[in-house]
Amino acid sequence: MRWAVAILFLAQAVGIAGCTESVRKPRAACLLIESARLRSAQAQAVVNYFLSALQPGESFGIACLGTGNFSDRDTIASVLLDARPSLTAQQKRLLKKKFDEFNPSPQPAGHLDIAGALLYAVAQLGETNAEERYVLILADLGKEQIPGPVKDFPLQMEGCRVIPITVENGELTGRQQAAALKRLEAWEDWVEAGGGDWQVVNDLALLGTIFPGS
Amino acid sequence: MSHHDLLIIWPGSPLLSVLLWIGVAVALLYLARFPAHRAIISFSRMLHGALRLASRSTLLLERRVVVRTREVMINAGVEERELALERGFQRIAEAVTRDLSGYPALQRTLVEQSGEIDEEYRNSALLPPPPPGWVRAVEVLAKLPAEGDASIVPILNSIHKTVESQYHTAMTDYNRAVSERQAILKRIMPHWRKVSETLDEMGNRIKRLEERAKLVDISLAEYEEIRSQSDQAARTLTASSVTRFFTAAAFLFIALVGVVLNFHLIALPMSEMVGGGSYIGSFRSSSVAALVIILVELAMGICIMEFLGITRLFPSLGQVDDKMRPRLALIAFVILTVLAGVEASLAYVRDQLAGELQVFQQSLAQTQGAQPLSTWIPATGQMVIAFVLPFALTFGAIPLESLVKTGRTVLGITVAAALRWAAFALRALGHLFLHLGRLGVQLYDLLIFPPLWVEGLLRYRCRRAEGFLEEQAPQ
Repeated sequence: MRWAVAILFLAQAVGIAGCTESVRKPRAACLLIESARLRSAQAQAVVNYFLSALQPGESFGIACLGTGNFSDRDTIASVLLDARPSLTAQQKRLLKKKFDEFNPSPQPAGHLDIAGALLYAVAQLGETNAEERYVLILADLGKEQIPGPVKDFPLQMEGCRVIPITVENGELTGRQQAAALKRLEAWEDWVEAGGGDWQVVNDLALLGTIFPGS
Repeated sequence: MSHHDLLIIWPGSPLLSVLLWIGVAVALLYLARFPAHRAIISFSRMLHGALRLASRSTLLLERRVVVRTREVMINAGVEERELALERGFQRIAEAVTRDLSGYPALQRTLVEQSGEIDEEYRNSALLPPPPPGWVRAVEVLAKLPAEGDASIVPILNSIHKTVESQYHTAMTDYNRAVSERQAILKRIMPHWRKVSETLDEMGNRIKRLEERAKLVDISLAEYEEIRSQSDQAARTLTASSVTRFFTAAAFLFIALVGVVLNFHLIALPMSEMVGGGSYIGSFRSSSVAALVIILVELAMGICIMEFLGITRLFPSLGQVDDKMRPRLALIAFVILTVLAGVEASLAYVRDQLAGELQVFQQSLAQTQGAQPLSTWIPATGQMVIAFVLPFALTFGAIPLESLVKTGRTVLGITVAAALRWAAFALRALGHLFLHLGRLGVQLYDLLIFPPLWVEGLLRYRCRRAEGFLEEQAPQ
């Protein structure tokens, strides 16, 4: 009889445990936003989504792609969320405030240092020890080329997923579109050569499947 | 040269080649007819035999399961009836102890009442009425002629008047004494009433005892029936077990829903205590912690029921000293109360967190969400539910015990039924294979019907030739 009771208890425990969500590996995400698109609805939507989807213990950072030479001064805000949900909400609120109050410097006429920002983001995410790492890029990658010296730099991106979000880039001719696609492929090859994953997001609703919330 | 070309016997005519191959195959099949028949029949008989054997083994196993289930059921029934009898006798013993302990007092009351009645009765004894002779003297005096001796008449009149006045005085005294005695008798009435009530109470107690004795008699009769292991008792026990199993399962399902609700009430706020980002195995630490609290509460509930003697899931707990049991039950109850208090607090924290999350989501959406009508009602409701549920779940121990006790019987019945069906299916399958073997023989002969037809024709001719010779021989 004792065995039967023990089995029933175990079954109950397993049943309740089955009701709970499955295991989720610790995650960290870094969002790189072109300074010209910092106040766009798209950027607001992405930031809002991540703030609502992030769970206690996870990390999130936002950086601005506004200069030709990316440095840590371009980081808008970054946070490692506390394990307690009550503090998590406060941290998120603070991060959102920093993002809203950030004043980007005027964008230079030249190219953006997306490659440098990417290297910086990968390094920052590596420090979090998160098992799932995401780098989101809200910039026109089709316009930017990987600089020659950087292209040969051995990128270490194991366990990292790079997610460029498609942005409006005006009317392009067929030739320009072909060139943009070629540049995008070059970015993809570069990331995948470093061991990372590449996934282009055309619809923000897809973020729910890539980075699910609670 | 391909494999296909190898099969072409007559180049340029595939149809002819196919026909030739069919002819060769039919000839070979005809030559191998009897061994093939024997092989088919043997194979089908082998399968039939094996399946029949398996069917018989399954039936034997089913009989063993049925017998074992019956034994278990009878033992459980005997144990249950013994408990019922024990409880019945205990109740009778308690009633007898309680009532008989009152009997000396009742007897004393009755003796006192009867003494008082006796005394009052004695006090109420009547005084003797005026003596009849005295009355007769008055009558004689009254009958004397009034016109007699003038000197005697006044004397007689005087005597008459004196006697009459004394008579009236005596009668008045007598009537007063009678009235007093009647008053005394009236005072006896409450004593009689009390005696009557006492006797009624005694009668009621004896009646209750008789009713309990009847219940014990019924239990005893059932116990005897089960002890005799009759088919009727087995059927009754089976029906009772199945009914109780499903009833208990339904109640436990309700309890399980309560447990899940309880879990969801405390899982989120638990992350405030143990952190929301850590995992134990493949589950969140907060979920595991919430689960542990609920399981401890369930265990405490079962312990309380065990110590109070309501359930008997663990014999070792039942052997605890009678004096210790209430204390242990009290300790378990205190632990349960503390955990229920913790749950109520967590439910409050949950409400706060949910509110904060809602406000934050609204700030992200930059909308002013609709304000709830009342904030304290849901919070209080959650706290009350979280506090009450652990105590309510304590009663889950009763259906749990019932489920565990009847589960063995129901499992046995189910397994026996499954084995019966399996035996039937195996037997049917065996017969199917046997008949398939016979069908295979017929189909084999159908494939080689041309040589068989030729053979039949030749045989017929041979037989006819033999018959002709036999007819010729006597001549």
